[in-house]
Amino acid sequence: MSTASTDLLPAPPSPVVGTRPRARRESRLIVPRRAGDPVVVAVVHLLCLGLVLLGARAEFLRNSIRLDEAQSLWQTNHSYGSLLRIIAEDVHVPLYHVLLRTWRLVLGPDVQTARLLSLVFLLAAVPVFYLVARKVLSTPWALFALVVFSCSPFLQWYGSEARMYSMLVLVTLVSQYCFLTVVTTGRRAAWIGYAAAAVVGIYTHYFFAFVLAAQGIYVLLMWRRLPRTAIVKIAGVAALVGAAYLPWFLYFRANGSASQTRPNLPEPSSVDFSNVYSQFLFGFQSDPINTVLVSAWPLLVLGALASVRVGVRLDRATAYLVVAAFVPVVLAFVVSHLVTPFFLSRYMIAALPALLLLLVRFTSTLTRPVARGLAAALLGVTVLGTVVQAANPDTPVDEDYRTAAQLVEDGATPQDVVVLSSSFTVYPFEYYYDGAARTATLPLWDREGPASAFDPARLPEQVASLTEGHQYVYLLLSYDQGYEEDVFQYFQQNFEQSASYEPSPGLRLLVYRVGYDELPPAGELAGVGG
Amino acid sequence: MSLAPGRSATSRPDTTGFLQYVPNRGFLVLNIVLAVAYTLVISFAFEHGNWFLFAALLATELFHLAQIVGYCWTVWGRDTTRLFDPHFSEPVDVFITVCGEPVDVVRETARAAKAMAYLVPFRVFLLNDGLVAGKEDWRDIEELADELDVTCITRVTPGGAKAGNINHALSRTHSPFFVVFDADHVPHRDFLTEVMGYFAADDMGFVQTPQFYANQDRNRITRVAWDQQTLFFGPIMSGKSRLDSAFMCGTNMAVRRSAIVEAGGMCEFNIAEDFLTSLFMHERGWKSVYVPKVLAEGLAPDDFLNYYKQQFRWTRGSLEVIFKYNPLLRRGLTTSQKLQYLLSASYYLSGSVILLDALLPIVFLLTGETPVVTSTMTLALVFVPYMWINLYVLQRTSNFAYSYQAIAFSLSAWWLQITAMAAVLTNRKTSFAVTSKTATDGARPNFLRLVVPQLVYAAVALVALLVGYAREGASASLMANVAWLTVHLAISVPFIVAASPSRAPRGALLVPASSPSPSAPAGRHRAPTRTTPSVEPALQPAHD
Repeated sequence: MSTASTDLLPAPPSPVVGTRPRARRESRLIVPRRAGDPVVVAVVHLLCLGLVLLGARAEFLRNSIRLDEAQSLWQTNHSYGSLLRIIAEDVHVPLYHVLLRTWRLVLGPDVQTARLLSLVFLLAAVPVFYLVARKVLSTPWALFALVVFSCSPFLQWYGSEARMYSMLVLVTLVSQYCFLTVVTTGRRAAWIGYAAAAVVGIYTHYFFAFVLAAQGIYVLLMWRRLPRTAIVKIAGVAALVGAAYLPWFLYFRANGSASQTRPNLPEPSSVDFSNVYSQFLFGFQSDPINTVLVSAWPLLVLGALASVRVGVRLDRATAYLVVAAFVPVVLAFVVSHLVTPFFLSRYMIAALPALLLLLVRFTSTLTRPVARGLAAALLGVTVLGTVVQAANPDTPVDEDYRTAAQLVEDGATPQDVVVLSSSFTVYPFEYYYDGAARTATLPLWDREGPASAFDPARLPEQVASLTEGHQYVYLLLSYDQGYEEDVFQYFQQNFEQSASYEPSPGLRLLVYRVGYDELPPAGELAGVGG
Repeated sequence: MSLAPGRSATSRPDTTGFLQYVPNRGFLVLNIVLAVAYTLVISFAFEHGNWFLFAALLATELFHLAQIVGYCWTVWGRDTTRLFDPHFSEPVDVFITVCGEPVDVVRETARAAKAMAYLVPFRVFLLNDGLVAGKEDWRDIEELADELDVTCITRVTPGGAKAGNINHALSRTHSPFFVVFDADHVPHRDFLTEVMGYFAADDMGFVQTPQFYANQDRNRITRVAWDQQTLFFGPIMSGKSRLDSAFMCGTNMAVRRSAIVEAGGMCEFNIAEDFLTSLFMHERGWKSVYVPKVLAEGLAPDDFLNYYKQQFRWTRGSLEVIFKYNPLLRRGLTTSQKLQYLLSASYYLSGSVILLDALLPIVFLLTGETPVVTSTMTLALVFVPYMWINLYVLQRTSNFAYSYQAIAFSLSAWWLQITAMAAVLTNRKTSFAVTSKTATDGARPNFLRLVVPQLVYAAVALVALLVGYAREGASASLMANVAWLTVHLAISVPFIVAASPSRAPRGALLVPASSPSPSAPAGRHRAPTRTTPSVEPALQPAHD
């Protein structure tokens, strides 16, 4: 008898080379490379640009200036040299501010003009998002994703805020498009674009590093399947980014590493983590609405089950989207616990486009009626989120310093004093305020150098120095830095409160009588609110 | 008849994709880590609510954890090189078990069996149980045997069902090896040449090959039945083979006569005779191997009742193994074999577990009681990644041949599994008054009586929702539990839809009522079919 060994398991074809067995319903897996009707694509692009403009003009551009915007304006009021120094002392990188200063010098200094720059970045992001979408989606689904992107409440918000976040989205999308191109085709132009986007990105926001980190993790996970030259080039881009960032890093260190200006943020909880994705999808919603939305998380289980489809594989581009949508947020969460807390949803806005694409990609793999229903629901929720975010007076991030300033102007006299706590809220307040009473901050701050730290032992002394000789104190409390309750309780226990207002969630204007030489002028405010 | 989207009537189902699983141990480890983390979080991270509910939840989670760890262990690797002699030429008998299947179906199988290639001549036997089962066409099988020049062995003394039929044939044949095909499983020409060489190993007891459903695209039921098979005949059986725990599946298998004789013949006292016979053979030191190649093509159960009965039999047989022949207590088995048999059988305990899980949101809505109290999203942050990875591992290990419908059917079979367990525990014999009818105009018959428990659950859920809303308003707890309820209800939708009647598709051909059905139930056990016009089906457990 002759015997021979036989391998029970003939090696299956490699996913990269060789023939692949015919999978059932595989046609759904292939992203058609057809560009689609250019007229349709152009029309949908125009529609989306119109949606972005409509959203901006409808509500967001008319919002009151926010603290961060006031900082942007204050910082870009300085010369370029001073601007770089101020930014180095702050927790940001300078590219956006340099562009914003130039923009304001050319087009005008007001906040609406400053916001237009963000809007331009968001508009520019629209076609780039489509290009990225086409890497993973067919033309119809990519166009649908584009509509969702254009209606996104989170993007609408930051597309109309005088900050760098829409620019971060644009640079991230360029980086992602080039990255997905270089790992598949290795075209020279894509490599140049990828390297340029990486350098621009790292000078746009520190958190762009998480975008690069996600790409690095993806390369590590896929390194066996990627060409060796691609890996070497990516390492080269990493080195280039490091070299390009080095000058700023040294300058930043020389200016104190922002040790005095870091915001006082709490360690993120699991609720904060969930809120990031809730805000990405539904925008900034009031606590009751957000609680209901987040509580429905078990529906994700249904999504997981529905994703189990015959022949539906996780292709490389989609795998990258998974990494791009979650790794930056997870890394920020982990680093916030291990190093220092800096977990704010806007910092992670770079993960939002990938999340939207992932959702649409998932939807597109479902059976047609289910996919259509889910797509309609996704679009409906997105539009609804934008509308409610814009119209709901309880929207939590709506900082209405304009109304607060108007209330003070209407009631305060030269015998009164306006006290702002936290100190740096003086910037958005003074953007609108043109009243008779002088303004001061608590803790006291001369606006030169970093804001003073709060010292409870010195609170009575500082309050006494502020109130001496005045009749009324208009205390504006916002941006709690850990001592707002102490300040509030001190005033409550030591002075008579005559009025209170809450122009927007988390922003309280309280009027206290501190002197009794004249009749209370604040009585004029009685009919206004309180 | 409906075809899967994108498929034509002439396309051939894929016979290789589901077998090409490559273990990715990184995902398997991640799956276990997340499963353990989730179980720990559930156990210790939160304030416990109602202790009874908490104990129930913990029990279900521990069951899931054991199943996940067991699954990852099973699919951790595949069987490696085995001794194989391509010139093996010992005599073999070919058994085709018949019990009322349409003659045309049997003819096709018998012809294919005769056409198999082998180095020495072999004989084909039709094991005709039609007479003892009271089938009207039992004589037709004898005539068919004459027509095809094969041997028909017709039993006249009933007993032991399919196992008894095979044992009866063994007493009348003499070859040292035999292969078994169900009447509707058509062997490929190379079946014997691909299988028999493994008996070059003197301790090889049996060789099993996949049970492939050629009619998988016939309708929803056949698709789901096949999708469920892909996981079992893809990674699971390959993994079991690595651990010398591959068991017989009743058809498409080759067996060494001396091994089965030593094991006492095919086990006639269990409804899952192949499963238990395998255990007895392993217990006596015989080896087994699973050959991951489609070497025969059969037919899936093609309506809801046949599917339901098939699942019921498998469940009951497996649970009997747990309660009456507990593998952990069997002496001759290796530790791996004990655990593998236990894992396979205990899967069918999941009906109780699923019901417990499904009742938790209802209990909350009705009473406000919960197993754990948490106001954070920690549970979500642990559970959601765990769930996604778990399902992705299932998909990867099935080489993306598994489906949501397959999962939904498995999860919706809780009532079936609970009734099967009750039958085992009370030692009741269960039989089915067979009333499955093939709707000849393409319409789907009405099997809603089989999903009454699921419909009752939906009704109770609706009432609970109203009660919960009246008590809580739109609270976070209410929303979370409503979401869970939605998940459970959505899972049962495909099961209920499959059981509901439907009209014939527009333009469907009208087939004369007397035309024989082209399909017959398949699987590890035969199920008789009739081809009379559709009537209301009934599942009637008989007690004696």
